[in-house]
Parts: sequence; C-alpha cells; structure tokens
Amino acid sequence: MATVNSFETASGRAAAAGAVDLLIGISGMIGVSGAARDEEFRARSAKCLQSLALGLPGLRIAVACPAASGAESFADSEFLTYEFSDGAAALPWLAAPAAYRSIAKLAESRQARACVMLSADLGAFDARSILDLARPLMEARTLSLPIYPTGKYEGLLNCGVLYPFARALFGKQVRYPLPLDFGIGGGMIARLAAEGSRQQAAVVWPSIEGSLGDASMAQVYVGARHVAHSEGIDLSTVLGSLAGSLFEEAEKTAAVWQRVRASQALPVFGTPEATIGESEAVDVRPLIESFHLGWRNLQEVWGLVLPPVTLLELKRLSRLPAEQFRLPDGVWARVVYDFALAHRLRTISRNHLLGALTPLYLAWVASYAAEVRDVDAAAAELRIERLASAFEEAKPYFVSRWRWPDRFNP
Amino acid sequence: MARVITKIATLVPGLLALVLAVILFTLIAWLLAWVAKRILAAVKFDERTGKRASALSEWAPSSTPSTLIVRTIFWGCFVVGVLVGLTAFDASSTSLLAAYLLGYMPRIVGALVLLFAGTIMARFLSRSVLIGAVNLNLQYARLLATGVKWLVLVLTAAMVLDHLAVGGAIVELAFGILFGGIVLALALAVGLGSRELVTRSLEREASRAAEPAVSEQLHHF
Repeated sequence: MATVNSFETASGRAAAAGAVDLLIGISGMIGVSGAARDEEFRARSAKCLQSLALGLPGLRIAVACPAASGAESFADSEFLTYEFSDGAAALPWLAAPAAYRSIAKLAESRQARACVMLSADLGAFDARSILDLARPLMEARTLSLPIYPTGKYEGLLNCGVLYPFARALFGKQVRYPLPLDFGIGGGMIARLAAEGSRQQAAVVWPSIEGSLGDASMAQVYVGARHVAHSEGIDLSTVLGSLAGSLFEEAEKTAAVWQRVRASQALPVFGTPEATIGESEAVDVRPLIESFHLGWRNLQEVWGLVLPPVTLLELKRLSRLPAEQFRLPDGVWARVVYDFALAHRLRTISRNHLLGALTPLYLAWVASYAAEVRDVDAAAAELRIERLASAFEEAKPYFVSRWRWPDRFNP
Repeated sequence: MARVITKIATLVPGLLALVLAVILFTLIAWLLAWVAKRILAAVKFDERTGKRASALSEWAPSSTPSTLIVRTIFWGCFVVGVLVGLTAFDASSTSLLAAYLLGYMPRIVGALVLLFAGTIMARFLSRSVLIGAVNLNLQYARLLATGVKWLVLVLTAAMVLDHLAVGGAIVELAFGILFGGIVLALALAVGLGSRELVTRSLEREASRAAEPAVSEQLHHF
C-alpha cells in the first residue's frame, strides 16, 4: 500500500514557482465578511495548516478562498484567491459549482496533485477531515467522497431519493452523491476545470462526474457535520432543485446508465463516526395528512405521471390507518422513476411536476420514520440499503419505460 | 341567375389570389422554419439557453425552446400569408358586406388568440395554485385553484367579447359587477359566513406552533 511519502511533492519535481501539492478550496463565501470573521478564519487556517504540515510532512499545502472573503488581505504562498461572484444562492449546492470550477482551474494552474473542496460553512475545515479526504488521493484515487455521521432522521432527501436513484443508475454505491466536501486528484481536476467551459450545470454531482469520467473512487468516513439552515427554505423548492437536477443528469447521461447493471461497492477508508445521540420518535401524522391532502387534490396531476398500477397502490395507501402506513420500497422506486421519466418527456411543466412530488416524498418519509422509530442509526442504515436495492431491482422497469414510454405503461 | 353567376365569377380571381398567397407563404414559412431549425440545432440553442429558457418552457412543457421558436416562425409566416391573401381578396371585391366581414376578420383572429392564451393561462395558474396550496398544507387548495381558474376565464371571456366589439358597454358593466361581486362574496364569506371556520383554522395553526414541529425533528437536507 502506498504511503503518504509516495505522494510526489512539488519540491521533488521540477515544478513552476508557486506549485502546490495539495490545494484546499473553500467553495463559496465564508459567512459574513468583516474584520472579526477574517481574523477568525486566519487563525483557524493557520492552526489547520500547522496540523496538516505534521500529518503530511514535505508537502506544499495551500488554501484557496473566494476573492471577496477577505483572504486577499493575507494572500501569500499558502493562501490563494479565486474569482467568485455567485454568493447569493440560498442553497449551498447552487452556489458551489462556480467555486468548484474556479478552484479546479486554480489547482490545475498550480500543478496541484490533489485538491480538497470544502463547504463554505467550514464544517469540515479541520486537519482531521482534510487528511481523511486527502488520504485516498495519495493512494492513486482520483475522487474521494465523504460518509457523514448522520442520524436516522437526517439527510432524508439523500436517503430517499438522491442516493438510491444515483446508485441504481450509475452502479456506484456512493452514499452521498452530492456531498458538500470531497477530494479530487489527477484527471478529475482537469475534468472539473474543463466542465466550466463545456457547460454551466446548475448543480455539480461529483459522484456522477466520477462515474462518467471513469474515476478511481473511494469513500471516507469523516467526522465533519454540517448544520442545515432550513429556515425560510421551502422543502418543495429544495426537492425540486435537487431532484430536478438529478433527473436532468439522468437525461443527459441516458446512453451511459442504460448499460449499467447492478452496483459496485467502493473501497471505504477510515472508521464510522458515532452519531450524536439517538433521535426521539417522530410524530408522522402531519406527514401522512400532507399525503392525504395531496391524494385528494393532486390525483389529476399524478394521473398524468404515474401508471394505473401505482395509482392503485397509492389509493390503497391512502386508506391505511396511521399505524399501518407503509409505502413499499418497490412502489416508491417506481414513483421516483416515473417522475424522472415525466421530467424528461415534459409531460407537464417541470415546476408543477416536482411540486407534485413533495406529498409523495412526505409519504415515504412518514413510512420510513415509522419503520425506524424503534431502531438505532445502524439499523436505519440497513433499511436505507434495502431501499437502494429495491431501486436497483426496479431499474429494468425504468429502462423499459425510458425506451418505450408509450408502449410500456403497466 | 346570370347575376348570381356573374357575382361568383367576380369573386374567383380574389379567391385564387387568397389561395395562392396562403400556399406561397406556407411554403416560405416551411422553408424559414427548416432553416431556423437547422441553425438552432447547429448552435445547440436548447443546451445554451438551458435554465434561462425554462420559464418559457413552463408554459409549453412538451416543447423545447427551439421548437417554440420554429413554430412561432412558421405560424407567423402563415398568418401573414392569410392576411396578404385577404388583402388581395378585398381588393378584388366590390361588395360592402364582404369588405365589412374582411375588416372584422383581424378581430376574430385576435379574439381567438386571446381565448387560447387565456385558457392556457387559466389552466397553468390553477395548477400552480393547487400544487402550491397542497404543499402549504392548505385544506381549501382545490377551492383556491378553482377560484383562480374561473377568475382568469371570466376575465378572458370579457376581453374576448370586448375585442369582438360584442355587447359594448354591457360587457364591461357586467364584468365589473361579476368580478366585484365575486370578490365581495368572498370577503363576506370569510368575514361573516366563515368566521367560525377562520377562527378554528387560526386556532389550529396557533396550537400547532406550540407543539414540537415535525420539521425540527426531521432533517430533509
């Protein structure tokens, strides 16, 4: 196995002036600018770089920040800046792509061998997390993706839609296909840097880029936790933007994923972090009420998207009492696939389509929350794995409907 | 009999001119649409416009931006062809009735466009309100959506009649009374008839705020 020392350093090769080995990119504006904030960031950066120098001896490490974050005031060989203007996006996933591209270009120009992208909330801006994400890159991997220590009621959108859908389509068992932090190396840096000139995607999916670019991927257990600021952000808006982006990716890459069968586990580095405390049981009645409201009012819209068999299943679900309310995995997988297909066919306005998915998603959340009420986070994780397997099993249905949407409509 | 035949015969050159103009402009429209389609495909217009054109596509979800542009070019040329043909027909006609009907034709076309746009808008807004209201957990989502739909349809009908110059001031008056009546009825319904319902709804919302919210226990992202 390769070690840290096998990572060729900039000083060891005939590198241009200013070359770095590892670039740490902060992907977005670092909170509210101000002198106190800058001071805090500067102190934290110095501490982090000091720890990294001990962990990665002999490597040149630099931090890249957005030009307007105040970092230019102390720009030197360790602090680099990049141009960034898209700081007004409400969701981090929408603001980050522009930053990813700029950081990748900077890494390319500095001949960096590895680049670790970190969220602007600095939740993973500590030596431990950076080392964890950088380690696979030093062992010739070109994409390292984090596995966050989330509780059983956290990251539900990822658990219910993004993870199983992306895994079934692209055949890689990436637990967080849209992470806030990740590491890239080798060809992935060039790929992400070139992505800016090729197209301006609203959301960059590192795992999908890695799958398409045939990257050598690995997952890493990290201890970083990101606080989700959901105040003022509507669930249907987030669901619409993320699921919509994933459905667009599916449309663009249809030629690739239709050939993929089953899924592969990726090498995993590190040990799982313990989740902080066990969540209390959730009252799922409001979620079920939301589904019932959707069932009473949105049947006309759902009827345009879902086949009769699925509508029958939903009808059965609407008649179940709260304590027996369970949405079968296969039905939920087919619902997501049918919405992805309707997104491609533009059966109805895409905003309407994704808005109509929200009550169904809440039905899945209610069903899942009721099922994992009495189990711990590890058992809940197994439950998510079963759901992902159901998505894989239902993939032939999706492929058939994708190829023959009119002929294959059970 | 001879006078009738003579009258019809005098219309033939105009009709021929009309048909010829329509055929010619249809061919030109087809050619322009084909050229536009090739150019838009060559410059990858749909991919370039991407998100920026999504607002346009929302109104016609089954069409891509380039398809909409191509169709607009085709039908624009076609309508011009019909108008040119009608002008030619008008020039060859000596009848006052024919001249009046031909003069009225643009109003009918305009009214049809208004009716079409109004119906599309009513359906779109109604669905937007319905989905939005359901996602906001409003129990009267269907009522809201139906209300919006009929308001837009009534407004469209009034505009169409006004455009056709049918009814004159009566339409404006009737529309004003109807529209004002609906708003007043809704205000009275909420203010008086549904006072209890509104009170209960507000109380329910207030009591919900005191309970531990599900959204605080569940984290979707």
